[in-house]
Amino acid sequence: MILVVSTSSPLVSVALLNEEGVLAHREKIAPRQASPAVFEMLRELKFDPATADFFVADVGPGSFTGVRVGVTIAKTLAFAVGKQACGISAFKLITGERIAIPVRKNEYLLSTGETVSSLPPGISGYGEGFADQSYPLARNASLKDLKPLAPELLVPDYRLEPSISFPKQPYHS
Amino acid sequence: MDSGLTFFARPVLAIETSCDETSVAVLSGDRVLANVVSSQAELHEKWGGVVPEAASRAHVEAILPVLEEALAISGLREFGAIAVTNRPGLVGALSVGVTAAKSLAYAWGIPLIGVNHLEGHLCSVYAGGGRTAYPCLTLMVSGGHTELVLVRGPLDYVEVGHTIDDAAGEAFDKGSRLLGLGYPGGRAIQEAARSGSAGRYPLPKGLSGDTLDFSFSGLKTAMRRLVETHGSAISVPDAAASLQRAIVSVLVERTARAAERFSAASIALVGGVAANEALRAELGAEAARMGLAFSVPAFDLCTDNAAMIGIAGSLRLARGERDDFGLDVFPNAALPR
Repeated sequence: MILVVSTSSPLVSVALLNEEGVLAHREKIAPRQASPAVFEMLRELKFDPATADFFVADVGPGSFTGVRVGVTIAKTLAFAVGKQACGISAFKLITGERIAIPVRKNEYLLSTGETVSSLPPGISGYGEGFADQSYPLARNASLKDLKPLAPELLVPDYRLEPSISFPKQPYHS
Repeated sequence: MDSGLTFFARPVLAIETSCDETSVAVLSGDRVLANVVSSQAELHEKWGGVVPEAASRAHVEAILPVLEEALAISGLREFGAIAVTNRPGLVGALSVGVTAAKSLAYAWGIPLIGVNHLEGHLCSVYAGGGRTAYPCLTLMVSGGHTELVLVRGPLDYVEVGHTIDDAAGEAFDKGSRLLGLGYPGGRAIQEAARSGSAGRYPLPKGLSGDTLDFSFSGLKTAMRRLVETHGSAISVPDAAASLQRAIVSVLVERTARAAERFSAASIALVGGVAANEALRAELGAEAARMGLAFSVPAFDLCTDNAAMIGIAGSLRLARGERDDFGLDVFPNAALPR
């Protein structure tokens, strides 16, 4: 059994999968409250980390803080029970032919790595500007391409430098 | 002396990620079995200060290697509880430690307790059997805080003085930058000051009169003016020594005044700036003159570390306090009551 956690968007989700498919899943809208939401859902599922073969986290792109929560949960749970972990791109957890992920106001990241300021028609994603909201969901994870490694190697895939302004010069210089 | 301190009966694993140090410690009662600290000082040096998003990113990468090393050093794999800093600090940085702590508590089925970082510093004097006579007047001084706290008994605090602007640690950092000595400034100023004459450049103390508060912004301005006036002719060792003297003397003076005013039975010195040798020596000498016992933690327990969080957490756990998975993080927090 494999645990997948997605916290890169305001819709936090967890899923338990095996080769056959989805065994159980939970989803909850929890902006800024990703970690309480994940543990609440894991408890609802009576999930025992010792029974998992490995752990998977949505590594983004998406909310920097949100992604860190899911990645930290997956890697720390894996470490705690002596198992491996790996990441999965948020692009693979959103259903749709073409996908865009909001990164800033009026700025969207495409799976090609390109950023656009206006959305082409028929594109899937979440946030302002999408006709239908399509969030990354843990239960959409496909086990096919996952390669679990030592948990300390699992890190977020931010894709972007922080939107906060890094000082070009040291402060007060 | 009956200290009234009761520690949690089982080993405690502690995590601290409130600013730019990733730290994990293992404690048995007040004994520190491991205290591993991974500093991001080099990462932030190029900006001359801590960049929050960069700090958060570094914590995610460091947390498991630091945890693994703490477990290896302590030789322990089973714990009675997890203690973690959840306030005050950089929220993104705190969130990494708190999330890791919840994950361990969930996987191992053990209790969790959130700890106030400031209480951690105040409890750092108890590590390894250290005890203080109450009331204990404690000077808590770091890059973010400069406070005088009257510790009336175990986990019983009253703030009696604080800085109205910058923390003492910031004054060291800013002075160091002005003198071209780098970041973090405390150690750089201390080293440069060794061969300097503290009487060379007169600098202001900040706030006059019978106060228990501090102000370091005037000192910062005076330092800038000093550097501008003297230019390249300035003696860096003398300026560093003068700055250190200005900071240390005002800290010692206000601490002694507070100890006298509140009839303290002892004086303690905690926080990152407590690693400054001149401050340790001069406050210790002042306490001795007043006939009061003086406590200051070992150097590695002064700068941010998880061992002090484990000590404070252990005391709270022994009182039956627990947190659940809803434990949140807070950028600001007063001392717990």
